[in-house]
Amino acid sequence: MTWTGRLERRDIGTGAWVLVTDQGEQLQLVGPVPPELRGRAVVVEGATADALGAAMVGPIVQVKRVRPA
Amino acid sequence: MLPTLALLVAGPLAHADVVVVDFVDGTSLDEARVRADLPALEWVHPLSADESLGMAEVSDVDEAIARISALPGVESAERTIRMEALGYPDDPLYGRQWNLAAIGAPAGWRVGGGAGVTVAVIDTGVSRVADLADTELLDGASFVAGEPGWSDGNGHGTHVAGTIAQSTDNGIGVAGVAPHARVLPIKALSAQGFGMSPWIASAIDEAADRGAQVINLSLGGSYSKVIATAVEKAQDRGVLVIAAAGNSGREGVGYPAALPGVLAVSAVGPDDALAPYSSWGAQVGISAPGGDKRKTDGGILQDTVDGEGGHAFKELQGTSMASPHVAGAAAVLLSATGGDVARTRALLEGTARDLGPAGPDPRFGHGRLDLAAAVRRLVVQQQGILFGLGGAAALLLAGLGGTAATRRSRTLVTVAAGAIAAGGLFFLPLLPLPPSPVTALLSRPIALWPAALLPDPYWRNPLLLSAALPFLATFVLGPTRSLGPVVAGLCAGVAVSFGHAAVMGGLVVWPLPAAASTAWLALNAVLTALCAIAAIGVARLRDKEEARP
Repeated sequence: MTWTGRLERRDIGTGAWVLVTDQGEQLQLVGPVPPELRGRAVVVEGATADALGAAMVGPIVQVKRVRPA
Repeated sequence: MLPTLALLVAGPLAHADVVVVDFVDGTSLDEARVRADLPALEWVHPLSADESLGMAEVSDVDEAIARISALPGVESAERTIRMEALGYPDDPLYGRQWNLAAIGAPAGWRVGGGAGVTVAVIDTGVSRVADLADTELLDGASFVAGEPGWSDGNGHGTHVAGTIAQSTDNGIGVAGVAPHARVLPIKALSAQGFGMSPWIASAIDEAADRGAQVINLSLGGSYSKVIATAVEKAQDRGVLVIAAAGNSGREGVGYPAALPGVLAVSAVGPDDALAPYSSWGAQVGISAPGGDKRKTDGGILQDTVDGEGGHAFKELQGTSMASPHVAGAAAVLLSATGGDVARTRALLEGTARDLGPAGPDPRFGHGRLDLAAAVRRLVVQQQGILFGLGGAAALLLAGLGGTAATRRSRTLVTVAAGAIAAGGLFFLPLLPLPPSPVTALLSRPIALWPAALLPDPYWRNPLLLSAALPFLATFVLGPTRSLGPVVAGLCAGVAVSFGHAAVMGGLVVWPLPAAASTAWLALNAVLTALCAIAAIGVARLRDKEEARP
């Protein structure tokens, strides 16, 4: 699956990568996230994971790839 | 006057003549002394050398802060706030733990700091960092695929464990809410901070199997049937499950916090306002400090792994940080009540400081955790009443033994022994004394002493919670002239304790089922009362014999 939105870093717990989708949903990204894309519009490729996490900012997406939109 | 008052209530108090300076990391002590023009500056602790955190006495602290803050190479300068009551605890960074002052953690230390209670930390694992050196960490477990050990590869779980039971008054770093509780580390989240629902469900099962009385879940996500089942099973076994409400900053409590019976915790900052990241909703039961890093020193400071094989005192924020405050407070109250889960929960919720609209509300639940108020309610309203009942029972008993003028002083001894046995020296935790295991023990009803000395559930065995020890005392010490009235009073007080537990519930004799436990307590209340009557009877016979010409 792919999602588009803005890549953000949240200062929650030990820190979490978040995609704020164009629909306003917050997804927590787990996996390889390029820090230099922080604050940028991005496309995330990955899969939703039936997982829970320490960050608790939103549903968890296991990332395959993040690229600029 | 105000500082004196603060001293009396053992609250935090500005230490007027000490400035703490945080230099850019890597600054050497000599460089720091020259830069700040403070030749007497020392590192706060040898371990703070890495962080270049120093402190020094100054004559005018405001002037020093203004001057030093403006210097290059200085990240911050501030006055230190320390617990001044008799210098406890001596953890050098305790002054930055506004969160512990807010919930009144010192009151919890005075009633034993969670001694005898096991708290499971289901998280990213726990590593024994420097400031967990004196903390009792049980041998943990890991349910994370590919991470067999229970050490912490993330830093989240160790920080959470620190809030619960950081080694306190050990001269290092910071303090914890329930430093004498046992921590059971169970890893169910990977080093990346997430975990699959079966891992978490298995971790909850394991915690209950291993005798945890409290489970802290600083984790969340969407509903999972296996986790719901595991939580329900743990609750059926008397485990108090406490979970973080979530960090969405929106309405909607995450799971497992939203499950029935789980105590869901939202987060507040140093100003007692709901933290901007905190989730909220109808299931929130209580709120606790989770930090607000928009404010200076506004995070929750604990020791954790630094990701490079070492450790660091880190300020984190999140409902993950709020939940362990409640878990630690629960451990303190469970210890002091002899494992009474219902009473512990009622104390936590009933004494929380009401915030927001009057009464429970979706943002703060019953209010912000106030452990000091919970301890006050426990000792004054509950133990105080038992103290009175014990005294009254012993007075009645002394009446049976005769109240001739010559025996008045001995009657007094009997009454005092009865009151103390039933209610403990309940007022001790209200005095601004440094916490000690001895005063913590003396402040409990005698029947609950074993709870502080032996692990749960073993202290609740049918031998210790029976008339056996009172009988032995009556048989061995009762016939002696000086101890007879004392033994009679102690037995009367213990009989009141057993009777109260049988009627009010909360104390379950292990491993009996609930109904059998109640019957056992009632039977032994009667037998212990008979011991008391026997002891006073012997004392009376003795008096008669001595009165003969």
